[in-house]
Amino acid sequence: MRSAEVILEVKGLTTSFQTAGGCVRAVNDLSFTLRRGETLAIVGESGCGKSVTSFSLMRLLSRQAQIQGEAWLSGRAGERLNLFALSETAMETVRGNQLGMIFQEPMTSLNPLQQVGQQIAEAMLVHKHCDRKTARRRALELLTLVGISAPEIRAQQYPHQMSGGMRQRVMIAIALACQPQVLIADEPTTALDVTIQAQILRLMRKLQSEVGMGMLFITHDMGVVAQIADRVAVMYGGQLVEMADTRTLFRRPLHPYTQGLLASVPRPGQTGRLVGIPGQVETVYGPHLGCRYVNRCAQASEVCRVDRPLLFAHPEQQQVRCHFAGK
Amino acid sequence: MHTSSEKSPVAADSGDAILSFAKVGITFQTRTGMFGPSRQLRAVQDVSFDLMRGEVLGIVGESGSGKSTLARLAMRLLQPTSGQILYEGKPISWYQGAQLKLLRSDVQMVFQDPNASLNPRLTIEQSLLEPLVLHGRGDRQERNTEIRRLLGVVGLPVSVLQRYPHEMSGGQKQRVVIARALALKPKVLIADEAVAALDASVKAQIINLLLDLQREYQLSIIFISHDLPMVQAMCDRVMVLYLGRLMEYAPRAVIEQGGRHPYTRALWKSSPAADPDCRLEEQEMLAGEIPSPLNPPPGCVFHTRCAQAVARCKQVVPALSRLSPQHGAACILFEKSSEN
Repeated sequence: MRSAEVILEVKGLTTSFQTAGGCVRAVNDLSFTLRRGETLAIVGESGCGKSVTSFSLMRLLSRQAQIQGEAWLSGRAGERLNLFALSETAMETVRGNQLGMIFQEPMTSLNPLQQVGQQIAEAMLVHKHCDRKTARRRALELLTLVGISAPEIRAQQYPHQMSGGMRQRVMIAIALACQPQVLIADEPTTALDVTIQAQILRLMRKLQSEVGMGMLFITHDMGVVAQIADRVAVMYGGQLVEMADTRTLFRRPLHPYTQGLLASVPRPGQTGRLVGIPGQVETVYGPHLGCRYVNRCAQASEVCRVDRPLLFAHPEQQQVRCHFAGK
Repeated sequence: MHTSSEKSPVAADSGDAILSFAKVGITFQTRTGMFGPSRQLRAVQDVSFDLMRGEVLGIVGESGSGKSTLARLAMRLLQPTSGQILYEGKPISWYQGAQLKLLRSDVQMVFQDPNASLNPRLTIEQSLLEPLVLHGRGDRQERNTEIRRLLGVVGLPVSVLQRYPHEMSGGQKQRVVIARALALKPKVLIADEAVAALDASVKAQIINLLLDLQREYQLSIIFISHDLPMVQAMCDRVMVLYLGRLMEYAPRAVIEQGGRHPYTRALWKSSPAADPDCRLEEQEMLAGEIPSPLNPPPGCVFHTRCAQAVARCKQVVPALSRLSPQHGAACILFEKSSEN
């Protein structure tokens, strides 16, 4: 995986919103790379900036949002595109084409008045990948690919005739229709039952290795991270606090927040009280001093209040933003 | 201990039951479209269990398994169409008037979404006072003291009293909902997916709070969730439901080992472990989806997805087989061993 070509490179992504209370930096100086065939999970709790990251990359935020930084996508023809510098017209040819996306709630992402087969074909037609007839045939192939039986019948059904898991499979088929370079999946299994979640995770893993795209998988669930990710980026308060290989992160989490997140999930055989993390995520307006996690951290000391920790690179490519972790 | 085993097989080995379900079923009449034929939806069928004083009983299942319907039946928000629900030894349909008001204060509920449970136009103080006023508890002074005490119990500062729900985080709001549920000093607390909408770290805080309250006030808690690892961690006993039927009931230790019923085992296999070296394997995963409760499969409702299903599973509805005094499973795999 290390040797595969870098397909998405994000440098210094900062997204801020003007609100009544002041300027909120939802994402603060986030940098990462994604390689072909790799799954990078972005994990964190509500308000950590994980969804704003995906919406920033797709350029789906409203005009109030200010996006700074660069996001270089390697195009299909080998071109390098800075997503944040493209015109809106140019972005429209990239979005849904080279950059696919799956959202949490498939019912709000699908058109209730259109047959699902048409919705899959539409993606290919809008981006002029093929003619109508080929698109229809490909839609059936894609339905089979995502594990839907009797695709001829299913293609003619409407979203309300399908279960949640089935709809999410259709969403995946739409996202894959144009064979994107990068797929952004924002909590794609959160609304599903565990047995269906297991099927969808397994499907996404299989498809990704077949198609060879890069996948950015956004979730709050450490269990899901362990199941799907090659690498993990942990975010807190808009910042990257730790990034590592999945195995390294679960074996040896360095940041106190990562440790707390892992301790909040009951392990097999664990009974009674859970460990958890005291307090809650705070919104910070304007620039802040010190570490964002300081008020919830058991290891915090005076330096954490006044001095902003920088991302520190450890061996094994593990990065951590903490004054004390691993030193 | 199990002298009345016919009535309620899911009983703990000591203590007495505060709430009992005896072969409870509920059927809804539904209609597809405005002029479609009327059909029967059997949301819960033939479910029996005892909630013992001071225990935490977990109910786990996927959507459509009937777990929320069970909660509503226990609250007497729904009337069973068959079987009987007993509270403190009396059928809950017996409670009327003043007795019913007492039942209402004794059995309290916490729902999944605190936003839907709190009136957005009331301050936290007003929301907390409401049950005390409605049930005529104390005078003004006592009520004000009481809600301040309740805030302390759930770990919130007194300063939240003047706030509105939208000014608070999800975890804080859920604490308010729990404080309000405790205001009438209930004996039974039903938590229906009470932590499902919360972030992992806050989820752990609320679970810990519920466990502390249970210990301190000798509450009996029914903890309803789709999250088997979480249920296993916090409950004394666990019931597994599928399509409105009880598949397995067992003490925590048995569930922790994976359970015996094929469905319980499959639920474990589907729950994503927070360990990158234990990844989900296709052969262990449940195929297909939960069938519609409008059209449940004949025989064992689980046979359409069960890897161990045989021809007889399509014809016979398996009875609950007792595997040990506190452990039963509804599967023909266990039928022979239990009948004698």
